[in-house]
Amino acid sequence: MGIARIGGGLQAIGTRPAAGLPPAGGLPGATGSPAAGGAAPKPGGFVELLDKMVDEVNDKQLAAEQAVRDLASGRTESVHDVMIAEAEAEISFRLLSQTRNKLVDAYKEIMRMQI
Amino acid sequence: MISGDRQMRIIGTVLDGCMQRHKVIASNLANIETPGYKRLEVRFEEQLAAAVENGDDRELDEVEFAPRPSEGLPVRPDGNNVDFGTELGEMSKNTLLYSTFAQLAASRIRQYREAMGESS
Amino acid sequence: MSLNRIFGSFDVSGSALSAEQARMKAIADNIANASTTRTPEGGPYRRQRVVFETVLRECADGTKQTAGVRVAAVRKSDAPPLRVFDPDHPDADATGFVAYPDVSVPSEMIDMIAAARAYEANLEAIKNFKGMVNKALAIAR
Repeated sequence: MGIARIGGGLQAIGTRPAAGLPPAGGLPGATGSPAAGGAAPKPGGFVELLDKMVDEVNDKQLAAEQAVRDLASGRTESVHDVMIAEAEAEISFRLLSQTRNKLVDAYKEIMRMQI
Repeated sequence: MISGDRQMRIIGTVLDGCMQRHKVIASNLANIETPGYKRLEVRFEEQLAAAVENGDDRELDEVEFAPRPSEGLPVRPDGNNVDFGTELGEMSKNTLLYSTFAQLAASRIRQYREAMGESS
Repeated sequence: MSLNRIFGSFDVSGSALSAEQARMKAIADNIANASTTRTPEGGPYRRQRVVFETVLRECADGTKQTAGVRVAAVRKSDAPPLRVFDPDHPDADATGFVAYPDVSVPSEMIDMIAAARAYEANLEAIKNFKGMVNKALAIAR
């Protein structure tokens, strides 16, 4: 797994800062397209894992938004569903953010190493 | 990663069931003096237990909370079969069950958050 | 209207509070007029009774769901009045009998207690539901 793949993975996550709420409508670039390099990710590879994380965070965002919509339109009456969906979306997003931060740090570290 | 966190889904199912049950209990209490009214109940515990045992996520989704008429209750002269004491007892039990599982959900979320906080 | 449905449990219990209140008012009227032998419409006071009816709401899938209770009617009793022999009473008829309302105060008191108890129980239901919602809100705090 080369540097290019890591860079591609980073692009997949996007350059959003870790703090703050995720954007509405899911994450940008979360349509499932991985490395901008165009190379297919190795099965079981790190980038593939990142892709899965991005997709999952996206799914959870959408689920949370749907839950709020359901509550607002009266289609559901359970407050706990919305709370759980929101919490799960928040946590998975934060996990993704932290993973991204670690990746960025590792990437910088590696770049510093090269002459 | 809490994708498809089975624990959370089980907790969510209990919470859903308790919510439905409260509505039905509220209806029973509201109609405790209405002539001809028959007690309704929500029972999901057996279905839930089976789904949990079988480890099947689909079964978890299929647990249903539809109100059903209670059986075998004595009927008063006005046709009503709701009993005060029983209903209030059921309501307390149900509220406690909901609170317990809401607490479990909250703890679980808090655990995840703390785990995140430490891993930086 | 949809956003109101989120906390529909309140409506169910709330409807019961209104109904029991109406019932208590009718009982209070009965007690207050237990000895009223003369009314504007003629004759003694007639005992009031409230008739309760389950409220049904149609769901999205066409089935009916109970959504509380309401007072369908406030009926005036058709029972014959109590006749008491008291020729000196201003409302005595030709035979010396006075027509009193068919109201038994002890019986009305028992009814009042039942209504108050039902009121309390539905109030309890509201408190319980509020507690549940608050616990749910605390999940993501």
